[in-house]
Amino acid sequence: MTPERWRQVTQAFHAALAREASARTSYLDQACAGDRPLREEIDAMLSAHADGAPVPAIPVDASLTHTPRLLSGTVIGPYRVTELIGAGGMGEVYRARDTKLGRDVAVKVLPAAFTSDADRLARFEREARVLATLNHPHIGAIYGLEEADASAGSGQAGVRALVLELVEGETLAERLAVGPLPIQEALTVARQIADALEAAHEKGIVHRDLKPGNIKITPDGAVKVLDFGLAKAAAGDASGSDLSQSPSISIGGTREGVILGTAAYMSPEQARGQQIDKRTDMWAFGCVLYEMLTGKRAFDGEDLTEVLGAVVRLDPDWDAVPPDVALPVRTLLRICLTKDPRKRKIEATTALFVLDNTASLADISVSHGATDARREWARSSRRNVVLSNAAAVVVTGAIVGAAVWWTMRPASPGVFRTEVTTSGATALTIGGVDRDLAITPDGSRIIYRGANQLLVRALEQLEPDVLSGLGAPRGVFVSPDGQWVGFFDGNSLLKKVAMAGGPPLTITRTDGSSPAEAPRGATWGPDGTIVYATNAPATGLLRVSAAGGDPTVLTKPNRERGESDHLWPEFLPGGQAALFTITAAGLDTITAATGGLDNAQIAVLELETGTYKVLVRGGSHAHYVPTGHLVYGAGDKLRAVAFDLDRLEAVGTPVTVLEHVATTAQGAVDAAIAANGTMAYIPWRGAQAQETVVVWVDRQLREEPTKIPPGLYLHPRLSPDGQKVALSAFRADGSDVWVYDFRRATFTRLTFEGNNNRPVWTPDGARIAFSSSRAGVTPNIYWLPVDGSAAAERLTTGPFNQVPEGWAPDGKTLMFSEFRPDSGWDIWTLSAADRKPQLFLRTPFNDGGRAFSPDGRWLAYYSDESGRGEVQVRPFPGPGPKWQISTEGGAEPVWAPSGRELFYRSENRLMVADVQLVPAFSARAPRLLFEGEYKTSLPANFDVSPDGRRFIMIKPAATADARSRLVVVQNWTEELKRLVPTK
Amino acid sequence: MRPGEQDGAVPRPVTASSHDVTALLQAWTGGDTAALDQLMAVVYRELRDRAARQLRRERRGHSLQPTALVHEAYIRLVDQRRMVWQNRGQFFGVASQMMRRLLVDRARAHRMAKRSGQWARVTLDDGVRATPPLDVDVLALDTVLTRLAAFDPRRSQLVELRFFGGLSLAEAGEALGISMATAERDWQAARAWLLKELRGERRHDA
Repeated sequence: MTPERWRQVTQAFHAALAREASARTSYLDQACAGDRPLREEIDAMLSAHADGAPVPAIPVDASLTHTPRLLSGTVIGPYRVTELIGAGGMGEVYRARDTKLGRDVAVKVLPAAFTSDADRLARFEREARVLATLNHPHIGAIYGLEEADASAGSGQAGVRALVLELVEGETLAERLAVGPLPIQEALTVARQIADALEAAHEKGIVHRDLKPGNIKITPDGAVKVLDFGLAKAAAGDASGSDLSQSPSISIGGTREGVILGTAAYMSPEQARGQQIDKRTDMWAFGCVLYEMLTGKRAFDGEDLTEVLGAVVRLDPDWDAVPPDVALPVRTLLRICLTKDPRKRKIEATTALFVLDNTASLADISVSHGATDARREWARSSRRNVVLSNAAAVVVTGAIVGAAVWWTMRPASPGVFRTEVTTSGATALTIGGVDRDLAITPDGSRIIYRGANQLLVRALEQLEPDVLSGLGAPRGVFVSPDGQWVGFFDGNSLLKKVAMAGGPPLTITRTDGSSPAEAPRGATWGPDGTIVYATNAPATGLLRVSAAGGDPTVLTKPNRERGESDHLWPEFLPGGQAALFTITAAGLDTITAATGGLDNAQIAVLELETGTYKVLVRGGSHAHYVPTGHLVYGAGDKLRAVAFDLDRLEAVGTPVTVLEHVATTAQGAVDAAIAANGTMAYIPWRGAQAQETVVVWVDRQLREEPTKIPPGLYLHPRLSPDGQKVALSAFRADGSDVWVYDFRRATFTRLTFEGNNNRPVWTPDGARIAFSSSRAGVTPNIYWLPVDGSAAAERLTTGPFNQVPEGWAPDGKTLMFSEFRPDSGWDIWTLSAADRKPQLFLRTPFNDGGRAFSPDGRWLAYYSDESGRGEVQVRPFPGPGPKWQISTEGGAEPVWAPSGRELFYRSENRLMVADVQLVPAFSARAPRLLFEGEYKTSLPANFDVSPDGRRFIMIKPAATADARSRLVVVQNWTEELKRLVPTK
Repeated sequence: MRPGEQDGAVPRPVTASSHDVTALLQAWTGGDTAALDQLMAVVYRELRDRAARQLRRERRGHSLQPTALVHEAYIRLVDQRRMVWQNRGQFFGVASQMMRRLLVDRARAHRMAKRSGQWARVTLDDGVRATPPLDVDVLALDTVLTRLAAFDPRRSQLVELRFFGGLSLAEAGEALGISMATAERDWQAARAWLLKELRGERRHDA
């Protein structure tokens, strides 16, 4: 089957499934008319589908149905329709007269399928209310949502219409049909678009469908961006990748035309149906700017597949950008059109800054670029200036750096962030299951969990008070008057202790004696009762008097509705209702895979009636904040959504308000918010928290730090003279080779393009060979002089992974490994003189870590032949017998430069075996050198000094420190209000 | 029982733990694609060892729960404190692929040894609780899955993650970077097509 045919099959299959069984035959008769094989395929699939297990139903695609047309003269609320001005994926658009305010407006009528779905309509209405808060000179306003009077002419009841600002003038699409814009005009238009995006992004609103078709230029030259956020409001899910839902107007355009017109501005993540955010808008912004400057689409093609293919794979034609476009603008374009959203590090604010300051930034770039700048740009600008890539990166960095600095300047005075580092006997201990900190309602004290104790840290004090003798405290919470600290002791006792100290009092035994039972949060209400949860399957939430007694069961998870458990209760003000988290049945393992309770739901329980309802899907452990928000955890993020306390309903769209917050696999969020607006949380930095430091370690395990800054390092390799070390330095999204010079104390980045790692020194120490993916996805081998006197040069090409292993002692032959899926790691040689690779050895082992003896005659390697990984030695090139060096498992072989010792790792031990290379190989039994928490890897993650007396090792940065920090944000609610407006 | 050995304690194999899988995942994310090949080798070995151990323990039943193995491997191999969220999906992507390879390798070996097909059939829990798990011939499933991958790699991966990795639809969607709605649609079509093809395979066998 071809992908095209398959697409046809799946489309018809889904369309048939979406229909009632009775309507399927007639649909398929029509859809597969004259195509018997297609019909048979789909029939067989439908039959298999019916036999198999039921799969969750999906909503019917609403865009398949049509709206009734409104006649001129139809009255919708105060608006009288005058004429049809366009139609798009989301319905028709009419010009109408606002009879009250005496102005013309645009009325967008929603499709019938849309309005007949109450949930969807409700969602849309919520979205529209949020969008209506956008009030900006460059954004087309939403005035409101109206319901048509059934008797007034449409002939149908319940017609809903969105009332929009009517913007006169031509769309940018119409303007572009004539050709490119003059550079200055293009920049002026772009500036206004960036301004609009900045305002919307500030409010957490993403356009999702930015394109020339919904950018209007008024007769007086002002730019208005239309249809902000409507794509999402219409689609109602996060992906927003359904092309047919593009809400934009197109006059006389076919449906296919609309889709194509939308696809060309889709970001790669949108095209892939992945999550999208404001970076998607920055991509589209880049596409629009490119098109304004060049007059052609950045990504184009004959059909949808081709367009999307270009979006995902191809680079725009940079040569088409006119040479007079200034470097900062080109840089801006490049960054906006970065395929990987994680690397698209640009904000609308930054774009605005660049466009506002193009002239002065161009000066900066010239003065910094000096004479040897920017070859890359020179090519596209067709200037005969020869400039180096490295300098271009510096220039780019300078501009973006300046712009980033500009945008990062403090925005909201009054919000203070303080980091509290705990240490020693009073260090924070993260349990990893329930919440490890609480805050008093007045925000004056933070209570956190230590080793078998609780710590109370008053914010005006430097040292915390210790509450000890509590058993094994966990799951801490605070009474509403701030006088008591509640906690669980181990798995089954609910206790309290006075904030000022004293003996703990047992409130109750939690509801069972199963050893597997464990607490899952508690909250202390204003009426003196405590609502708590455990992971016992039979019960959900329980309630007990804070004074003690037997608990009563409040809720039980409803298995028929797919509920697994009820966790993490938090009282709402007044104590009449409590928030809690419902986990989904059968999805317990979600925690292991994604780290967040993606399938969990946040619900609210009314205590009087015992009824509860779901508020938010895809989140856990919600708190109510008196600013009128729910704040809850989703992955390692905090999200917030406006909350109507009277109606107990979430209003609007959740917005991410804080990233990198510790969230446990069970869904508890390590954050606590006080009524006075102060928040305390435990930061979780993911990749950043995994930093390592590079240290020297001698044979007696005496450690000496190096001056290499902490980072994520692997594969350290000492230069032959031992004066430098080359490393792979990893970022979250890439890697580069760096060299630290011990004598001069300089740390130099050697590589700048693509991903680069696994450095190997030449025997003379002048060059480094490394693996680099700069030319594509698969890494090949490059080398460059360490002094930077020449650019990197490619040594090998090929479709398979290649990594350098080492040089023959004469420096004329490089040995490298190549991985082929069918044969594993083979060893090749490459002659430095003629660059010819030759297959040297098909190795039977498929793992990393090969090392050549100093005389080049022996190969030490890791083999798992025996079922356990061991270090072996064989003659090189062979053939000949092999020796097993390690006796209890081993990896990462490294030869001493003297050739008299062979080192390797066995778990966290460094082992050494005395060896002899001449006249024949022999080895004595290995012995332990030292044991320590140094990081292992493949290939070797350590190296030995030329004299063999000490080792360069990588160790985790003081992780205890990294994990015992708290962040306190005073007046955090100010920031929250700005990010998530409630009205 | 040897002295010092505790009842029920599983001896800790040196092989897998001597490699820092978390570091390999990081290196892979950071563009060291060779780390992926090494990661696959480590994960494969771990799964193979665990499978062998499980079968030794349950000699009579000969029951193998691939998805449980994958999750055990995850918990054992990955240092969750140092884990980036994104890496979790990557790990499961690799692990489910390796689980599939392991099952296929074993099934082939046993078929060649002309032994009973016990190894060739596994029980795949496709995550839908109300129905009995699918009892599928591994080699047949592998064949049709490979066929599916030729024209729809994403759906094929989704099936792999679900069947061999034991991921829920939401987890698998997360791992592939697709929305829940897309994952549901993909799953629906892929599942129907595979079942249809498997019926065909069974007819060929008969």
